[in-house]
Amino acid sequence: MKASLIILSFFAVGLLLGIYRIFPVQWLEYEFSFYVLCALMFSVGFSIGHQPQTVKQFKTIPIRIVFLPLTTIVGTLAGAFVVVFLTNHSASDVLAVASGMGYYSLSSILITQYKGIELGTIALLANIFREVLALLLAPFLVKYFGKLAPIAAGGATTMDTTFPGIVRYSGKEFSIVSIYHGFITDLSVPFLVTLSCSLL
Amino acid sequence: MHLAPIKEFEACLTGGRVNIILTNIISHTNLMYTVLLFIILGIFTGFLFRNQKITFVNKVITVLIWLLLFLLGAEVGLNDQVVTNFHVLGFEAFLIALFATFGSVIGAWLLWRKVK
Repeated sequence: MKASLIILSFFAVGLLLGIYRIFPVQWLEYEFSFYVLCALMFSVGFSIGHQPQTVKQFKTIPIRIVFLPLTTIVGTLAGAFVVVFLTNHSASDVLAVASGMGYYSLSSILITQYKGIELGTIALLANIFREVLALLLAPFLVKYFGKLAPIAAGGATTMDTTFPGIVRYSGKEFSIVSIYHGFITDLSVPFLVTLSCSLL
Repeated sequence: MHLAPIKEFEACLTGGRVNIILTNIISHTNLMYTVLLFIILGIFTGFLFRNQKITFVNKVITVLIWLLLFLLGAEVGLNDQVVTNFHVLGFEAFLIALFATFGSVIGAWLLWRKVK
């Protein structure tokens, strides 16, 4: 929660500096953010490759629950596809935003680079909304859709921000499932976003 | 991304709309390949160093995300079109979030009925 607020305050400060034209426009013309993005992608990759300890814990997960990240990804994309018929956005746009899976920082940055600032802003807001929905709806979801539902709703955030809520409402026995689900969904985000953006 | 207008201008000089579209597609694809290349390079490097205790990567990621979100904020703030349409973008974002969450919940519900 605290980490999210710090991230959002960086966005807010940038936003204010931009609106009041304190931030020099020329700074955006050097593709500086692209080089930072490459550094970020390398670090994200590094943290994926460097986690043998985390992966070992996942061996205790029941075989059918192993498919939970897959149902989350397919369900997310299928659900979001409905929005193609409700707005003027292309399937590529909508699926790219939904592929963020609640990982708003990374997805908004990537989508801004690929598709421009407008869709990047939608991605930031949509994925913040998803995190908030997952946090608020957890007790309701457990009641009507079973103990896996709050984990699916949390998307890529189930090993950090939404983790405490999931353990509380689904039960302690779902904590490894929650971490596993967050781990797999999280690492699929950059690939899914890139794939969705490349759809014509 | 920000060099796109220059590339379009070059494309105009060399001829036709088709060329503009082609240049855009090529620069887009290159961007994606570059990003994926950096992730894959990172995964390999991370795997090579798997036996060393390296904890600072997560701090590096956090700081880079701060920097990029600051830049993203500035870019949004400098773009009057995005600022004035913020409520429209917000509503579309809410729709996508709602349907995406609901879709994933249905997926989890179907799986839950199998494992229960």
